[in-house]
Amino acid sequence: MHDQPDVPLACRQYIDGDEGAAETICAHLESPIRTAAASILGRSDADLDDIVQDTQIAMLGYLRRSGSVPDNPVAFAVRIARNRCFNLGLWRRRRLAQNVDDHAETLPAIAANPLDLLDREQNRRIVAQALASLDPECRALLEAVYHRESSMEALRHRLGLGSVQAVYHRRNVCLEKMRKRLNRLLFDCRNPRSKP
Amino acid sequence: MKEQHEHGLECVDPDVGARILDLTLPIVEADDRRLLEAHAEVCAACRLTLGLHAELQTSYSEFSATVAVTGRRTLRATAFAGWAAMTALAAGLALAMLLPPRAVGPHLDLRGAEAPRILRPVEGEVVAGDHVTLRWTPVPGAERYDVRLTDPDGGLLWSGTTADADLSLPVADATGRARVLIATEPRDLLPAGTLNVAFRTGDAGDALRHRIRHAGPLPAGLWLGGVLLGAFAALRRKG
Repeated sequence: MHDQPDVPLACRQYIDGDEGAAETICAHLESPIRTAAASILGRSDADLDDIVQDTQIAMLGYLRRSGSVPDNPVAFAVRIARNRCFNLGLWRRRRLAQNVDDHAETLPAIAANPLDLLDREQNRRIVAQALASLDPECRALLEAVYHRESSMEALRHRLGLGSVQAVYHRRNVCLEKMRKRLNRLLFDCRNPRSKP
Repeated sequence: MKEQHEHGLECVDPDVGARILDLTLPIVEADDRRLLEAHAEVCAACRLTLGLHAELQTSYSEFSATVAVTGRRTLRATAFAGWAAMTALAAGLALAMLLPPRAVGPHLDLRGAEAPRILRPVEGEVVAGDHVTLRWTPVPGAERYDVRLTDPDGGLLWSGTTADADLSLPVADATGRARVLIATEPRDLLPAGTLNVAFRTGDAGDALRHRIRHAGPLPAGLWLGGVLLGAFAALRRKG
């Protein structure tokens, strides 16, 4: 996917306070966002327009808050939209299992944590599954960090690492592994457990 | 809804997303914090990572208890599969010893399953010992049976007569291949040569090998099941 050359420029102008640049950004992003969302939800999905609009607003909010222009604004926005569709799918699956009348006809908040879209029991089960599927080293490290609440300095000693940053790095690697497993459990349709 | 993307959530900007857990550190530069917070707000993949961190921080013991139960269940399942595999293999061996082996030989098409026929030994069986129990289906109207044990060339090794449909056959003189022929009295009850079987003599090891190699479908099925269960248990133990 190639950016139009003026999208990054418009992003920069918007960050610098040019409200008019927002229109240029939204105009350039609309088509790729719509195409990406439609490939997941289908062209006739009732929430497609809301997804496109939410994503454009989220993009503008990001530019203002971060003060930074992504390397590829279109790819950035498309990923926001795709993730939003996946979260919406998660939300709909949960609603299917409950009384629809109990829920307002709204989309989940764009800043929602996917785990918050599950009920407590589903959440506990799926996190436990992801934890159980980790290699023993990672599980032991996460247990030391989160359960026994060992200090990073003590862990550094125990693991024979040169710095506390290295301990944080290992924890982050293990959390990333766990996130990928959760991603599969939550969203991979080929996985029979992917319907929480 | 169409089928979802196989990879699920994807970080919107992996270079920034790689540092998202810096938000959990006690001290973060203000500019970094601003960028990371803005990133987390639009990136569901990174919110999942942060959510995971928060879940583990507040409820690790709850998850680890589930993991421990799952682990115990896995161990129990593995132990059961191992036990079942051993039982199936042992039961298969016991049945191979108790049940007749499959008939083997070049003329099986001449040896029908219908009566009258010789029940033991079966065609091609290897027998051990000085005597072997010879059994056949009774022939209606037969007053007695003449039994002949011959070598492969037709040389007589032993002969005898019985009124029953079984006999302890002395096979000490048979070395290697032998044949049994049974005729009825009166003679015209059966076409000549209807009741006959070829077998081999050998030691206990030969007989055991033959029974394992030519075991019937039931022991073979148990062995196959045992091997599959054993492989399952081994893989679970390794994993």
